[in-house]
Amino acid sequence: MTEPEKKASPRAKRRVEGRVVGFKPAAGARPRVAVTGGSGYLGARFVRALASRGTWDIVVLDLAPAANTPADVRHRFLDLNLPHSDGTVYKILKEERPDVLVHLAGVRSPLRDAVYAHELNSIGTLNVFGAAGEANVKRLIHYSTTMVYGARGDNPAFLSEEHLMRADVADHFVRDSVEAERHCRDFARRHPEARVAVLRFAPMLAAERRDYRIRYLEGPVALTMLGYDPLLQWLHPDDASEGLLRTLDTPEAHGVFNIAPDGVLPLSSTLLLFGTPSVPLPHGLAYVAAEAAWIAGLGTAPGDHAHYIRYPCVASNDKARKVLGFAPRNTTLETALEAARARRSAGRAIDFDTLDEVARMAAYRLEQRMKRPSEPKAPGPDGGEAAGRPAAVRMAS
Amino acid sequence: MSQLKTDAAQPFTPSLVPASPDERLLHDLLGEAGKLLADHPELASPRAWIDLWNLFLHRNQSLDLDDFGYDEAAAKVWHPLFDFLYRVWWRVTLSGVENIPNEGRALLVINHSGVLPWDGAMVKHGISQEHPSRRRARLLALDMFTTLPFLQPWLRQLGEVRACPENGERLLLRDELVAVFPEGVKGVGKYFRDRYRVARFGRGGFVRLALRTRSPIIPISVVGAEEIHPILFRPDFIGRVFGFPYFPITPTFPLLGPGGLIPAPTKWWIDIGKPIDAGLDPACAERPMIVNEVTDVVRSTIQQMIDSRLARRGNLFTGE
Repeated sequence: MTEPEKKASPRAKRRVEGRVVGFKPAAGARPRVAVTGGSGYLGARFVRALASRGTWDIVVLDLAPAANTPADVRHRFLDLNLPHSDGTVYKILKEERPDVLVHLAGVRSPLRDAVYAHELNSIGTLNVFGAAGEANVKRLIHYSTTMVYGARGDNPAFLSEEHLMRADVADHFVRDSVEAERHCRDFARRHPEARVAVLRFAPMLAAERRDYRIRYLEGPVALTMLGYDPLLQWLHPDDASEGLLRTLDTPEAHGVFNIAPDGVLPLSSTLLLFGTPSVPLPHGLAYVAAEAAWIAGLGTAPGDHAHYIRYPCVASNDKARKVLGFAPRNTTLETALEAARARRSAGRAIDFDTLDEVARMAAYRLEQRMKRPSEPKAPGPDGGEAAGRPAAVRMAS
Repeated sequence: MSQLKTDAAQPFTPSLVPASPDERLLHDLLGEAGKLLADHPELASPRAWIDLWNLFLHRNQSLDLDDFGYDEAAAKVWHPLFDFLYRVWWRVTLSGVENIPNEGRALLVINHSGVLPWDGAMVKHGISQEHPSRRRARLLALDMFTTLPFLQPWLRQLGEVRACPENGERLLLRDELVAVFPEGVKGVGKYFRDRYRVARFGRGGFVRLALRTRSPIIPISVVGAEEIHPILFRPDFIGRVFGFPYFPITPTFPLLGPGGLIPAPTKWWIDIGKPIDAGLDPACAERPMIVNEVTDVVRSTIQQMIDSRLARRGNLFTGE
């Protein structure tokens, strides 16, 4: 009962704010942001949230406008798969002269047509950034994923932004994201005056978004690796959108930022919440089976992508917290619960109301555990005050 | 997972002691899921059965993990095993537990031995049992243990993390007790003839960690663990095939097969030394000669602690 009410009220508020926007000064006075892929799942969410503030003039560059685009958001057609798309982007950017370009366009699930995905994710980014350089755009925000770090057995528990991108080159889907980041890096090198923020988003999970993760988690059965149970992070789409907003609000944001939630959840617990039986195979066999299922059209991702159900790839959000002021509202467990509750129908032996309480308690305890001492006590005889904070803390802050 | 209940009107209240004998059998077999099924026969739909199966697989786990994946509920299940090994099998004598602070960070440095890392488990168990504030140390485990199937999720549930500077620093900055084995593979896999000779202490990474986070270093010596699996030969190429860094030939392994994995019931002493606080500036972490010097002080302290305990030790199994 409380759910629809909760959802309705901010929407109503947005409508009111949308009307107020009409009385504000002409659009030219507001800073302008161009959003490629602004009609996609995250893009549309981000654009709606940004439009409700009324402080930005928004241009969406996408194939078609999203279903419920706010009235004052303009849409311009852009297909990054057409030949000479960089010229098209350049023309639009020259006409619109945006202060910030947010590049979200791309495919977010592995496609059977790997060439198409490569053209869009890697070459598309190359073209957009090339055009942005010619059109003299001073601020860019690029969508990337924490999967570029690669799922490896020797990953630290929390991957920071300085960590190398060690994704498997055989994994086409992630390799395109790695290449896109390289194009960003090249752009930043060629245009030292521009500020380029690369946001690496943790895997997003939302009930209404039928991407390959939801399809994997829903089964009917889920392939797992015998004896492995990696920790996963699930990012709430609202938190992802919040990460984009925070970056937009931070004019000096430059470099790589992990947009990741707090808390982790093992793969087995996620499958428990979704009510999917797992089929554990020895890892030597599991890669082959995953590839075979992918070729047969039953699988959700190619075999080389199966590293992510074997080893952890968990990112730290410390830098985004400090620099962008990003504070995720949902923990990994809460996000997974929300998605699982919406996907599950009757006949379940799991009570989500009780689990919600468990998740709330867990979120509180997690906060307590993660709390770093604000004034680290120096255990040495020379005392904390004179010695100051430890080097690592000092460097980071 | 004791918080589960059904959609039915009657709430499911978990209890530690099941009421009737037939319920107890189900409860023993299926855990909370069995109790649930006994209370609610209407649950027998295919989706519910999948849930019950998943719950059975999860019977010891909780969803309330810390950010490194430590699962308090799952770790509790293994407590009796460690307690048996600690009190009965190796009859561990722990001394110097007062050297571990009641709160705040500290880096425990332990000598490594015994093929399988039981020494770490015993130090951790000893501290959690005998320290007044029952502190739970977190072991930084070798890569080879954290990437092996079955061991990976198990160590994660127990609260162990992979040994790397990032993990250690994060834990120490949170004021936790962190235990390291700077000898690494050189320590666990050493020949029987090299017993109680502390190997080279890595590249001093643990000292840099302690300096950067201003943590005191607490040296700990374990005596008795060297003899649990005496390594006679080490044809390492066999181990490489299975992904192990070494392949030990002991008097019982591989002769007795899995039975060769049963460690010898020697008598153990764990001595916890006085904290070593170099009192150095964190900037010294970037000066390799200073780091090496501190490493050497810690190493020789542990060697002395071992030597003095060995001199007082009598019989290998009784200690008399």
